[in-house]
Amino acid sequence: MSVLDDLVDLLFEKPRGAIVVCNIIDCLDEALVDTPFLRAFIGAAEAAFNQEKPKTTINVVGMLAKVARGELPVSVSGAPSIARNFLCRCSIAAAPLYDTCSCVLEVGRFKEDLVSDARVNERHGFFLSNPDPADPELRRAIESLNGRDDIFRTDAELGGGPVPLFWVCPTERLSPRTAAHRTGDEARDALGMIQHGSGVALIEIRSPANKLVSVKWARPTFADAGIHSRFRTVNDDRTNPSISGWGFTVDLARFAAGAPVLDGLPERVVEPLEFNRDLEAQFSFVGGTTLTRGLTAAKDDDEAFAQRVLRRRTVADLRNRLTAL
Amino acid sequence: MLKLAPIDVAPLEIYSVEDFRDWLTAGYKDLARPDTRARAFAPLHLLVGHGDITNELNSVYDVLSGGAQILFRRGLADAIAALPTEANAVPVLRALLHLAGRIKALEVLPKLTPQVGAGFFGMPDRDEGRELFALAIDIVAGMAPASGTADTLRSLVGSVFFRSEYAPLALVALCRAEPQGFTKHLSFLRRHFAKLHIAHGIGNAAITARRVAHYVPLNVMASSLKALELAIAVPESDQWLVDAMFVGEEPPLEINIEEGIMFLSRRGGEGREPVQLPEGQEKALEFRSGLLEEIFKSALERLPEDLHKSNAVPAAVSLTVQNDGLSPNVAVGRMDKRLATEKKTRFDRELPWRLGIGNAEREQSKD
Repeated sequence: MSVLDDLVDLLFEKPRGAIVVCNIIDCLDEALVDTPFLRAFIGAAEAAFNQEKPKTTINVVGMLAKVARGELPVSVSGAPSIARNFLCRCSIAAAPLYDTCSCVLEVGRFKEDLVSDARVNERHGFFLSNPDPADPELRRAIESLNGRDDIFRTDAELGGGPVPLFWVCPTERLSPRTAAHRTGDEARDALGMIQHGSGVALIEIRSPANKLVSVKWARPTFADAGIHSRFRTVNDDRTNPSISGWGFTVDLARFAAGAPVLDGLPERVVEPLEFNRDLEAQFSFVGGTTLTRGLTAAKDDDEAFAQRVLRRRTVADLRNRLTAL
Repeated sequence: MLKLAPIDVAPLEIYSVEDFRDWLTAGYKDLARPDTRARAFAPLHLLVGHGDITNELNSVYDVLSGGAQILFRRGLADAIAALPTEANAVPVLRALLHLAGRIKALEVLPKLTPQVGAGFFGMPDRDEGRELFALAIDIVAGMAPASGTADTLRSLVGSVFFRSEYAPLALVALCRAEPQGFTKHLSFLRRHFAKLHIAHGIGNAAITARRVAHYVPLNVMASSLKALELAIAVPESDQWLVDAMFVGEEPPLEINIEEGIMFLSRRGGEGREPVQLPEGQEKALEFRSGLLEEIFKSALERLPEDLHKSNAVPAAVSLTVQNDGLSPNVAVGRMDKRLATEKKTRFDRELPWRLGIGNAEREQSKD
């Protein structure tokens, strides 16, 4: 048994790992990445596997996410490092180019990473890092940030932090889901943000698309997806080739309802951008979530999603594809 | 964020308070350095460090056993207390505070109180100290109404580092923690509101008013109104709040009189029954005089431009008197410059009023 065999065995022990394998193979088949890229990734993954010796599927998934961003394998003194950053590497150009793109974040993360505590917490339009979901004024308070030049944290970056990228979708496609009377569920579902359960307040950051193209941005691959458990490379509606430079989110509500087409919104990943007035960002409150997704066995859990991304392929097929690289 | 099970965090089940303290402190420090980032928060380093660290550690905490959760929270509080007051510890302190807020670790509250007059909040770099103080009050406010939050908030308000700009946050958080003490909180913060309004005006006061009205039960509000300090154009009064609650943009509350009895209710209703103002008729009239006359008398004597500049009045006050043949209807609302200029406002205190305090434009549309 090779190291890769052991790694793949551990991945296939749980649906969560099977989802990752499907996306790796699909990225190759869809020409989002090429064979040398994938070989380099697998080489780094094998080395990391030898170093870390993970024992469970979830640990392997976490390990691969760290391999994808070049944190693992840890360089050993005297030996050349094979770790490299595999993020934002899909070269398919984005078309169409939307005027404005949106990034949706949890309010707490927005405050922790991006804005000045002193500025946002002052005066009547403040809002908290852990807002009361029943706060009747959260929308107005967040929107009172618009037009202010003094709210930005020094050296803040959108997409800063351990994973150096952020996700965007076209604002015009998101807007119907963020109308004032809606909860955050609809937007969260459309964006496939399964990591946010109930009781989470979400904020939308809108920015002109031409601000995003000043840095590298790309259709997301398995490497960008990292630990995201509802990412998939291949969308259901294959009739629109003009949008091939965009990935598609998985609509969590459609998935929970057993819909045949799960495509949510177009999405791309963007390398970190300085978060300041030059971004010309506008802010709005998306809403608070009231539902948790992904918990219903055989309906919208990892097992059910793994079946969707397997698309009638067998584990043996996928194993052979991966080890043949 | 990875979905964790208890087995995934099993290594932490044997941790002591000191172990958690060191694990959290070292984890955040390691995360900040590229050469140590990969193994930050070992032995859970493959599960943590993928983006939103606060949420990831919250997930770890959620699947710990009850006993380990207690030790985790105490370790977190000790980590905050043990950090050296140095600039390079500030990012770790920020992260620890955010984590404390997320998991509602009330154990950190006693650790913050000793810092109100010194410590991190008094760091020579004023921006860092100011940011940390603002974060601390934010995190404590976010824990309300949990036990101990109100006392800690009062301690922070009493700090030399408290800025009047935080008065709205403190008031709303105190009202959320101790709604019965509404007037006490307002009195406690009155001078800060005065300073805030003098420096910045009363923009967005309606946001605070609606939040206060949301957290303070109607019966408490009804019994509290008479205790408010009302005075037009006097910054150190509660006029701004009364104006915003009853008069301003989308006011949350209204007072109506039916058959001589005054009722306080929330606008829009939403199933909340009106509450009779606890005073008797005489008191009610006294209240009416105290509230309305104070609002009107100064407003009518002044030019609209003066009123717009005033720090004590949200915009201005206009008054229309409708006579339906039986009793006049009085409405109070934002000053419309045109109305004021044309001298259409008037106030006749001799009329036997039926009061409706609310949106002037809405009332005027009945004309």
